[in-house]
Amino acid sequence: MSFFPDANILHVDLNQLKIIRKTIPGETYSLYPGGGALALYLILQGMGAGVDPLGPENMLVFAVSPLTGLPVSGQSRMVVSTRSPLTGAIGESQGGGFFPAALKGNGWDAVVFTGRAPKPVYLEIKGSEARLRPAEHLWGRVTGEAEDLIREELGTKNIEIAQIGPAGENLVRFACIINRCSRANGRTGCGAVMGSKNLKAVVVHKSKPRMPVDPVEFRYLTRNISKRINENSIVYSLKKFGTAGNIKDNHEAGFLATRNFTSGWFPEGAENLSGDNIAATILKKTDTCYACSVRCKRVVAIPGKVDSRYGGPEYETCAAMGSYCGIGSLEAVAMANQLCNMYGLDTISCGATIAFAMECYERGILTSADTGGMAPKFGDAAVMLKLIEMIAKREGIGDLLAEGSLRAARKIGKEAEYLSLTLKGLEIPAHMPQFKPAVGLIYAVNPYGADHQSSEHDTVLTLPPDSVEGERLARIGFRKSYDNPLELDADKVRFAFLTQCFYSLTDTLCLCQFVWGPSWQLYGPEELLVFCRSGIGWETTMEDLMRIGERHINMMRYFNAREGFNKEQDSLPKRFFQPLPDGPSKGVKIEEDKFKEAVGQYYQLAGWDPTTGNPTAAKLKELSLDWLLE
Amino acid sequence: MEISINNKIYKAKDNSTVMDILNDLGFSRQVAVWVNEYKLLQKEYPTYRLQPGDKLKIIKPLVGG
Repeated sequence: MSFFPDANILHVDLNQLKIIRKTIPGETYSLYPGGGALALYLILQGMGAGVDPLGPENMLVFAVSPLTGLPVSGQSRMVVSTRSPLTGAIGESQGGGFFPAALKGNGWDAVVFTGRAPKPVYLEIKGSEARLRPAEHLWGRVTGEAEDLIREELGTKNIEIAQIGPAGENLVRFACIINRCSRANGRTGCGAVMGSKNLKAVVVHKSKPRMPVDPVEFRYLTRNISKRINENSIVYSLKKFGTAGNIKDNHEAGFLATRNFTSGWFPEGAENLSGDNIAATILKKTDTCYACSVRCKRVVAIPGKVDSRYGGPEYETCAAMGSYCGIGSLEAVAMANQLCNMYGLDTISCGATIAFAMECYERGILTSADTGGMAPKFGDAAVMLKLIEMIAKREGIGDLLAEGSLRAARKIGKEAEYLSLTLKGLEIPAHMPQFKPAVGLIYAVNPYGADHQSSEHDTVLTLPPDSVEGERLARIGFRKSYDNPLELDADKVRFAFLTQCFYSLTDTLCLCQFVWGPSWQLYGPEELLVFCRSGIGWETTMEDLMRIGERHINMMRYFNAREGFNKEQDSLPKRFFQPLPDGPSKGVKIEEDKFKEAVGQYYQLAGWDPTTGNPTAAKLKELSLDWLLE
Repeated sequence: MEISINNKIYKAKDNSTVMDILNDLGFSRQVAVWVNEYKLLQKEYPTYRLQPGDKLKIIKPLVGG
């Protein structure tokens, strides 16, 4: 059998303020090799069903992988998993930066938190040593202030800090975890779980760089890296314009989510919010994650208004704080991004929830009596900025919106639930399912709710079959090119499933999906095998890797089944079955019957019970998950 | 010669290949190209010579982010 390293796990019991070190043997670890799969293995072993997501029994797991921190682009990602306070389902969120590489560099594959500290604390990790430190003086501080205080207290700049802001402390259900004040494990409310545990931050000391076991073969991945990037126009665009490079193109196609997804057409603002306008106006510099040559991160500054330490808006933020809310001011979006990074809020759920409130107000479902005199209308940037602060502090209407749009809708009543654009309670990212129906299908069936980075996007299928992208997809078993990306047929469902398994694999190995993926990314499936082999001596196959991705999905789905989730939660919001009203996409909609048929086809491919939508015992056994049945 | 690209008139040099047009417009190979509704393979981009009046459709895949 091929070599696979053991996993080193740090267990932090916050009730007792005790820290225990455990090891998972390599043979077991190779089935759940990091990230979301390792986290789920630990959660399903250690936590029963029905725990309160904000109670001490909930487990919170930070996990990296054996590949994290090796000197190649796109390897410094970390997954945080827990039972989500936003959805009640499994919560999973991926984030980048330098923290993941530093955590692995100290020798740790995962940190598990249980219980609740009697007073605020933070965890400091230095090599094999870990200790809890008081954090009462940090509580209530925004991320930048807390970071400065921790650095001063520890007397070093050579640390990485993952922390919550006041939003996490106030248990805002879509609070996130932030490192370097600008890199977020954004989704599913993991920051609120951290807040519920009185855990302000995790600090890791920087360590010596990790080295590959076979530097000669590893060089195949890193040599001529600039040429490799320049020859890939999609990755090059990420380098040049960041993720927001796609704003204008999506608008021109008629699929930039606008005014709470009532339209895909935003002529009054798309140009302003675009990556090239960011580059031409407020960009201060570009930034990167550990050892990554792509440098897709933007750092922006506006004198007196936006401090560059809080990074810059991504595509999702430009959409959620911009077009979702009908706001075309780049300055306002940059300020919103800064506020979210200061307070520790997921920009997607936050922007989407504000857009939901704006539509409720415009339709008379919310009135100024509900909002304390505010008039939240589409296009009002001042109101949007004010609402972010009110949500973070749970003030006024912000207290209701801090529950997320679905819970808020259920409290508001009337037709509000129709206006909550969520899957399993998680607000929808800025890739319209009408444009990308395979992505829409994965939004629906994904265990942790609507996620745009859980499968490949339909649009890549327009490329001809002899393209690099077509050949890479063939390597994972998909061979078909489409003239019309809007189609949703049985082959498209297979594309969704196969690429979901691959993306689930990258969420397990904690790899960036702009760099490692099944089609357009900098590196494809073959290079991933080289990475595993030359990086850590892991001789594996593409079939085994795809199986790891599938196992991870099934573990999450099994978790959800325990919590009472089933196929009832696997449908898109009704709005997507209505024709779009204007712009180039006028009249486009998803056919509801066809979509339901696609969900059924997906269950069949996944080997799930068609009556419940949950994994069958046979599927769990096939994936070596028999232990879940005991 | 005059051709159309995505429903807009475009003046191209005589004997231009699809790749010439993509280079002129700043596109890479990572696009899908149809000429008069026939979808080209990528290996045809450098060799397929356009004729006056040809109708090109060029689509750039918009992926995640």
